[in-house]
Amino acid sequence: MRTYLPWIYLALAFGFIYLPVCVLVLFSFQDGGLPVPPFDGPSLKWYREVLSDSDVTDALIHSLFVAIGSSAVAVILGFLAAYGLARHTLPGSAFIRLLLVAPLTVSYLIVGLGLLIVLSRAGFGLSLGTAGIGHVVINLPLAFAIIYASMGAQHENAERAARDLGASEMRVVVWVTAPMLAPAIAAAFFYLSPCLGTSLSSRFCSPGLISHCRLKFGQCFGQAYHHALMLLAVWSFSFPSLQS
Amino acid sequence: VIGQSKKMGWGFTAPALLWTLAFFVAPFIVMGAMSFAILEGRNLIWGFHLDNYIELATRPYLWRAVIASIEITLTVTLISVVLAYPLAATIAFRVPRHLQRLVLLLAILPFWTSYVVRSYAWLLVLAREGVLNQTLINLGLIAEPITLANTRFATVTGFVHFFVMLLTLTIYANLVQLSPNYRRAAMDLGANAFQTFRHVILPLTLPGIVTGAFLTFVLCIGDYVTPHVLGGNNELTMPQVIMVQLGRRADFPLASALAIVMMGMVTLAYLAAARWLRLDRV
Repeated sequence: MRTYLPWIYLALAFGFIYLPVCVLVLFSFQDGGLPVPPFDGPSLKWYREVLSDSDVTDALIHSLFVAIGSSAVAVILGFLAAYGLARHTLPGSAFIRLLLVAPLTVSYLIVGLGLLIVLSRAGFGLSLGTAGIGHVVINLPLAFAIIYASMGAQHENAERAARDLGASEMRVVVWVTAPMLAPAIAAAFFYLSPCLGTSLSSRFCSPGLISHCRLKFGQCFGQAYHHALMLLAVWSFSFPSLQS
Repeated sequence: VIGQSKKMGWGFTAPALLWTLAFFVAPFIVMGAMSFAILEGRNLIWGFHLDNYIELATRPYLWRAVIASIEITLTVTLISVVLAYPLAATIAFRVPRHLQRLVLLLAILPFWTSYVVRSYAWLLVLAREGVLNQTLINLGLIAEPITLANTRFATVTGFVHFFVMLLTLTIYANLVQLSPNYRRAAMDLGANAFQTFRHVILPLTLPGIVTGAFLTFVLCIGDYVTPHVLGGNNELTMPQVIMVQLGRRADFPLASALAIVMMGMVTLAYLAAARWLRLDRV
């Protein structure tokens, strides 16, 4: 019995973790109006509905746009900072590292609130662009931390060799360091991308379209969305350093 | 050469640093100043007024929200650690090595989905007509559906679901780094399984636990969506109250004061955890 105990626990834990996901996916194929048992499907009715509602598809496209754009900016900034701090000695580098990870220790609610105050005081209208700025602030610390952690000294020799062979600093970064760190960079990018559902800073900083659609379409929006995310997640499997 | 290296180092670091200063540090300072301002009608009066903090301490619906947030966050953190540790340990010690990564990724797969979606998913499970109630009724365990959604129980369940995955990740990362020799040495010296865990494994995995628990604390205390979707309106948490101040009343000073109080709590949690915290290894 005792040797089975861990396996029973593992099964129960997986049950707990997958219960809501399975229910969600199952009832996205519900034929009736309400996502409650009994299940009378399968039907693609809600998917048709989602795809034919331009508000929802717009919101989806906006979410994707903000997510991919802000993740890309966060990863690029994070990578450059990680390179600068790992390969060059800067005065106060410990403090800079701390400053760069600091947003991680603060709720995104606070990040969003601060930005909202400043932007509205400065007279900027809220838009997808301002939502993107907020997302980059929230994502940058993780991108930096993941990439910085993987900047081991073992890569340094390759960089030195490239420099000895006459490569400029820019070429070293683009053609040597970035390809060597591709797994970490990809991991950072794919880890951040699904934050697109994190519409919190969007709630603050965009014209409320996303939350409007969520109210209007509640679950079925979530469901279609969920599928897109699952695809992304499965995709991100292929990157080995994800677990670090 | 050193001077040039320094210049280049700054060049690489500057974009991220400027971004953080402009869009995080500066707004944060403005928010701090804002928490000492007051609203007169629609006019904002800067200065050093403690009105917002006094209001926070004296208005029941405000301080009750603060207390509810603290209670929920501590409950969630504790339950998540207790549930995640055995899961991480099972994956690290029982699952064959070549399958570990796959099992871990499967265990945290829903982690990549948005928590908005996850919260709605739990609503489907916990609703009065939902899957859980229907199943229990069909099994004959209960006669009437029980109220699970729109309670603190639902909020905690939704949170725990998310943070078990986060903590499993940080604890697993810590467990696999342990050399099996520690365990063998403890066993050789006559420790039983529990003593080995209590005096050897647990202290060595404390950094993983504390890092995960701290992130749980930060994300949980600041989350607005989960209590909003799952907790109903019976009991508000701090982030919900902040959203009310922003949306309905446009009371930025009071919202800022609430945010500063929340920040104070995160700082307390940080100080409590600082000894074991490894944020650079998230």
